[in-house]
Amino acid sequence: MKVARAATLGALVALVAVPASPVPAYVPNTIDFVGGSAVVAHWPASAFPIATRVTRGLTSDVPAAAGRAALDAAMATWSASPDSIVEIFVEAEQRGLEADVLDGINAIEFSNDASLDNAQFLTLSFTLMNADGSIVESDLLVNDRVIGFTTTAGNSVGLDLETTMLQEIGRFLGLASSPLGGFAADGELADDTSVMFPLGRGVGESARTLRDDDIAALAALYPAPGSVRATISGQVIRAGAVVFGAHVVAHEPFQDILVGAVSLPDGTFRIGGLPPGTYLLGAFPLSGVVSPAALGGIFLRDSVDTTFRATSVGQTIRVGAGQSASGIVVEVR
Amino acid sequence: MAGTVVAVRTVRTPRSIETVARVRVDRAFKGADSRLLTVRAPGGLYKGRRLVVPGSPELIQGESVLLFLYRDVDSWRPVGMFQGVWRLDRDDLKMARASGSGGAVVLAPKAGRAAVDLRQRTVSQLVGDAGVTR
Repeated sequence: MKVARAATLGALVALVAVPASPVPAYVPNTIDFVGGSAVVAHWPASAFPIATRVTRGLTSDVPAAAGRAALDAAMATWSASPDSIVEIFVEAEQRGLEADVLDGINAIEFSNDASLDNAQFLTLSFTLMNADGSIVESDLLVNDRVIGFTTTAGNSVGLDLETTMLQEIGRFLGLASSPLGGFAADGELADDTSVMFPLGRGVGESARTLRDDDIAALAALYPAPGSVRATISGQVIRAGAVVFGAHVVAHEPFQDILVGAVSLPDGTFRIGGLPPGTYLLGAFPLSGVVSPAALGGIFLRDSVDTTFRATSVGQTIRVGAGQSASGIVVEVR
Repeated sequence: MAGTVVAVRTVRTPRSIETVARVRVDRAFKGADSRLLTVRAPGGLYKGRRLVVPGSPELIQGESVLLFLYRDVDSWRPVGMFQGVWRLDRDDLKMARASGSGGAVVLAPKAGRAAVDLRQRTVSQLVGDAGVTR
């Protein structure tokens, strides 16, 4: 395991005096905050399994069969996430498929159109939803003009197709960027960076697997019947006022679990999908590549507080199977 | 350019939903001789449904903004999506703040220069950082 990490994560590790551990923090795509409640993007339970279509042959960078296998593997990884009902698959490859957000088809379009030569994106995801956040349709447009894909893990020349699709399928499922990731001493993303970290992960087999944070996201958003995951919730306060946009991280040092959430405009946070355990909490300002704007949704607004100091909570929080610990106050300065 | 968002609407395009803003140009640093520009960004609220496109900026009527734009057919689009949109302090146009603090991603130099708190940069400094010249 690489030991040099993002500043915030390093700070948490220092606070709890344990070795570096897997990365953190999921955020549902939070589109609104109404009446004290967050409106988050989510597929209705009846939508599973989610059927998608993909451009026939996918990318011209790799053989069609290899490309399809990479996409299938990415979907299978999310579908196998424990304690959630998520299931997503490719129902068909289609020639001339378009990422049309209004056609009722969940499309993954690989476009080689010359008009994308000067486009300002590598991939664009489109999620159409109702006012309550329930997703109606999701599409992904991949700019195949500028990305050089590979399906060989460890190949430093191209971008690993399976790794890329793994993150994009996370967006398909309603997740926003994860606030924490780690940089190793060599400047590359650490091996244990979560799938939903906003920068593309490195290549390699380890980059193709979900982390605790990603797994907790699905377990919280799409819980399986009988799931016994736990929840920790509370509020972040600064000088008597609520703190919006604080990244609150729960760390279970014995099982090396690290999962987080971001506080809402009323300062409240809720970290769901946790395995039972004894947790330590820390609160961190959003910074670096994980800016409020990178999270999108309600976090685009300027009222997010990014000026407080990283803070640990001086108590352990024990949650058993299916239990909730609520009313935790995190005071920051 | 620095300007003011004077009108915003959401439109349905053949394949998508887009936010279309009319922006009055108060100060042009490069190109953009027009007094009024049409700026487009993917996503928006349309007939009770919302299209969310991660990375797409918010353009809000009445806000003062500093925009880095590129030409796209009959309109303009922010460079790097949210990274090309900065809100300006309405009381003092010399001070620029990023939309969120996303500008750090765009303008933090890859090598050679120290990172700075971009939320405290002036308009001139931001434009200089981005290498914009007439």
